[in-house]
Amino acid sequence: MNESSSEQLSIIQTKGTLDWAYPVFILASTAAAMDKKVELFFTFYGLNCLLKDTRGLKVSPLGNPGMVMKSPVGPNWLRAVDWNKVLPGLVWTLPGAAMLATWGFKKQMLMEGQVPVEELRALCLELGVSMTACQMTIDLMGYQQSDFIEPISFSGAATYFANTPKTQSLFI
Amino acid sequence: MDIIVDSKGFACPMPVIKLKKALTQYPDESCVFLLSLTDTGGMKDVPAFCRQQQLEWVLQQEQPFIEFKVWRKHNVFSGERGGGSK
Repeated sequence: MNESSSEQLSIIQTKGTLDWAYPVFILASTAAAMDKKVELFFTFYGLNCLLKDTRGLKVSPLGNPGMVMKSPVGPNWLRAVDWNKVLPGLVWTLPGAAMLATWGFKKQMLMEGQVPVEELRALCLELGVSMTACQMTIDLMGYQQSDFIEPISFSGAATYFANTPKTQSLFI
Repeated sequence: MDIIVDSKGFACPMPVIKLKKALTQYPDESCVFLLSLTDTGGMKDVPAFCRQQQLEWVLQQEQPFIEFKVWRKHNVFSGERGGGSK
């Protein structure tokens, strides 16, 4: 391997929520479009990002004080309210709150011109981004290799580091 | 040949991705790419992408949408020089 470190990007994805799936795929697809060799390593909850069934990718303001939670529908005054700032955190523990937040987040993203996360993920693969799912955590969490999209590879941390010498790593 | 790359209504990173896909699809040096977008981040991102990819560019318009003309450096497209209009 003779790529210099500036021509590579590597990200270790450990988070399994929708708001964390987006940044990784956005950065990866952009870097790949700029001809960088991109290696993504998914471990622990990050495995969620590689599942064929993406319904598990949710977002919740619960324990997530940085999240901006605005209504994607309604009159302008209503849309301007950041519900994560005005409502007590306890509200997000109510049944259905995560579902409602995920629905609002998805709708807001689409309205802002973002593509669905499955589409962004497919674009990454099309652009040559290499994705590896951590075999240890797959076993730990009881997933099957058939639960995951293709083409990705399955291996451990040593393989990931062997494939990404010298490269910068972002841990997300 | 003029290639229209319409990424109006799409947010980062789609304008750059669409431009890259068009560049891959049309490898001919004579191709000139007309990239239109509404994502204001593209005002900086598209030129940065072009610099890194050894492309020439010129900002055609900012309103009602942003439009860049992009071409490969060795293409002597009408003698125009890009890379610094903004």
